Amino acid sequence: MQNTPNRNKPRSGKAGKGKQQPERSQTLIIPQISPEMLESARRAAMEGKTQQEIEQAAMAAEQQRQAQTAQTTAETPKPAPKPAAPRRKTRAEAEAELDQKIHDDHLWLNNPVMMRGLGLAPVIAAAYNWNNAVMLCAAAVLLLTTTRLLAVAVCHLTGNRFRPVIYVYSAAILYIPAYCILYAWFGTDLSVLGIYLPLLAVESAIVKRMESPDLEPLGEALRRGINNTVGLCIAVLLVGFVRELLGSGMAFGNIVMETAPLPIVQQPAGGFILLGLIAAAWTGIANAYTHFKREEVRHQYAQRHH
Amino acid sequence: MLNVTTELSVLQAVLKFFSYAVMAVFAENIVFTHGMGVSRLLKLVENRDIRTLQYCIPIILVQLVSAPLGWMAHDWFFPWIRDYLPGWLPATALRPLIYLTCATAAMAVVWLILCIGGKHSRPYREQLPLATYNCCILGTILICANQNFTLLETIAFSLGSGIGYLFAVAIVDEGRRRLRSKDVPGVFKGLPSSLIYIGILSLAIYGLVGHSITA
Repeated sequence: MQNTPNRNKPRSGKAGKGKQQPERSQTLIIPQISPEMLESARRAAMEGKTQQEIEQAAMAAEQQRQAQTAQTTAETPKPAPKPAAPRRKTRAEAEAELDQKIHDDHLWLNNPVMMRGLGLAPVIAAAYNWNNAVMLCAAAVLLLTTTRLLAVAVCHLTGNRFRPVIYVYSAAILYIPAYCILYAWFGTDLSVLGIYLPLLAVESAIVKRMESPDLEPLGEALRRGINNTVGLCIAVLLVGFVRELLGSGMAFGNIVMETAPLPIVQQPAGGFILLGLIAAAWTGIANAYTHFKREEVRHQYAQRHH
Repeated sequence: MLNVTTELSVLQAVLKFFSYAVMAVFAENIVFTHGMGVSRLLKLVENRDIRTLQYCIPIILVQLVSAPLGWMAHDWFFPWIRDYLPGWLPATALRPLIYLTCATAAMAVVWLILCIGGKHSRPYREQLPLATYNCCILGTILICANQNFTLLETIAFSLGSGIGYLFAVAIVDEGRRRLRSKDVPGVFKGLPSSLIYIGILSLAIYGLVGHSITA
């Protein structure tokens, strides 16, 4: 460090002793100056010491200060380290977490039928009354999660190759015991579903995962499979109930209205329109809820700034 | 030398072929009348990376090749296998497995055909597995089997179903483009408006025909 002469200039302390000495001007280089060094140097200059003596005095003062500091540090007990406080999430992290929660909510906010448009064929063409809806639900319960688990297990063995073939063949193989169980439960009523029951083997609600290149763990496949099954069942039962009520004036097989208010909803055309209206209402409610949750996160993080 | 009776029978067969194909395209459209393949169709019109023809040409080819295989499975394989199945296992439980095998065999044939096209047919080959396992392929084989169609009728109906799917995709794509208007309320945008639009088209076909083939 280079100190200017004005600061470290050794001043003559003997001004009052008769003849005034000529003022000297020279630069003193001290590597790291501290207040103690400066004070020591000033005193030495006042006493009229030489430059070398001034530097030695300053260095001695610095060494003394360092020794005192080291002693103080050694004597003072170190405070115990505080337990690490849980790190507060940033707003972006909180929003990403909320988005993930919405994405994972296959029951309401990301329902496979109402929000993602999966499994439409059986819902539109076959779920036109409560009984059919219940049979479709039973088929979905037997097929959806098991297909996903079997397909994921096989994909782990094949290195995630041939996904489409593995998924649809898993569904087709599992359809055999599922059909036997369904036949035992529902008997010949099962024939009412027509081609829409075997069609479940390639239904997108069941084999949609074949399009994703990410190989999920078995536990995750089980969790998502159950979520999707419940979401699909809720949608199928809701549509079946409304179509039966509007299309034939019945509820759960019992007559509640003398005349059917809207018989066309029993046809696929009416099924499309009714499902579109239900999906619009569902989307409106889901959007309102997600908007509320997003605003909640926004307010929470806006308050932190104040 | 062909006589008049032979010529007439050939003409009748051609006429029957076209009538079944046209019926499958319009009156018995696989999307509007049976609601099959709608999920994939809606994804297809949303996704700008995949062109309509890249997905629909493989569907038409697989439909065409799988139709005779499905007919053979229904008319030859199932009557034969019924004698060997145990009592607790109905032959109908095997339908998805057998018909999917027909579709997979058709996919292999179509893949070989598309390989002739070299790198130009690569986008079609990439879409081939998803197209093969679309609901409309298995659905068409099942409809033909349920209706006990002859081989000629099966091929005509399958070809018409494939073209009908392309027709449906084209119409829904155009409708979807118009439904992006800001005049459409927010909650109806996307899936709800598309479903209502398909429902109205389906209603028009229903009004035109008045009945549908029992599925």
